[in-house]
Amino acid sequence: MDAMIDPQASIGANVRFGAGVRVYANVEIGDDCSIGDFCILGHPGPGDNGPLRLGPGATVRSHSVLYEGSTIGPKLETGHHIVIREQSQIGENLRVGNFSDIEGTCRIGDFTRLHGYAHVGKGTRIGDFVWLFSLTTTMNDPLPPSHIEDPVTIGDMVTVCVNAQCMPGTEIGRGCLIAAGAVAEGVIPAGQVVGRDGIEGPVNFAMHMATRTRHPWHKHFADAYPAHAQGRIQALGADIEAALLAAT
Amino acid sequence: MTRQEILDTMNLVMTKKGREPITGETVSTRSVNFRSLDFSEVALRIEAKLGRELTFDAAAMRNIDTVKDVLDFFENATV
Repeated sequence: MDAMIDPQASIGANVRFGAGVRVYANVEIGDDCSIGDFCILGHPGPGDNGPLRLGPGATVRSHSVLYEGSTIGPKLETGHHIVIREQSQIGENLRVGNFSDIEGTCRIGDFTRLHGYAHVGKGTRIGDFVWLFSLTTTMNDPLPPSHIEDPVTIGDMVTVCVNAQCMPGTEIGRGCLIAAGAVAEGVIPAGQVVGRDGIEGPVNFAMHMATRTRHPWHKHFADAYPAHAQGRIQALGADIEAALLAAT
Repeated sequence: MTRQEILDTMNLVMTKKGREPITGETVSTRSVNFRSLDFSEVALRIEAKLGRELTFDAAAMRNIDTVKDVLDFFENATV
């Protein structure tokens, strides 16, 4: 099955399309992108949303849908069957795992990672170097179903572990660790661990004792990022660490 | 490090978080609300006091159930 590329779409150099891809007219694709089988780019959303701008070097795996009206930075990497709705602003090198969805009007910083089956609610604000592991949810409706929108804000270098839920309006400070299965709500100061019973204490006490691996993670996991991100990671990590030392 | 000093460190962490201090050794850590994050905080505070890193045995940690187990664990680790 051939790809259906609207002739009005702007396609960069060296862009590869799989079988059955559909690209609408209001799409701008940067150079060196790979769009997998049966993806849809520029899917119409409600209202007039403007173009979908997909930065260079993207890898969009099969059956993914990117709506119109979003701007996505360089080197997006998605799994299969992901959805990014309209009017979202996304930074450099976002990675999105299989079956995750990012609802509309989200703001996501640079080098953020979503594992599979994450649900990012409409209007969620996510900083740089954030991790959302599988089955995490950020909600935005405090009284569902309603027209109230009270999205979640997640600071830089936050880690949200498997199956954690972020309630509407939650503000998570930079460097926090939301434990597996926890429910985050309210305003969470920077550098705290949130467990199943609420805030448990400073994140620098979170240690895997057998290996002495500790939070914040910039000391043991920065090598997972490219060279040009290292300075920002170290600076952010040092800020979080200094604040924690002062507080404890 | 003495057993009492280890218990005092545990209770420092407990009271700092607004919880009741631990008085008995036979109770489970779960029942007194002594959590995994508290465990690592105690370890780091002990290390700071001793001025050296402790060696932890992952298998032994998995078997910790009671306050006595915690005290035994740190007593052995600080020898």
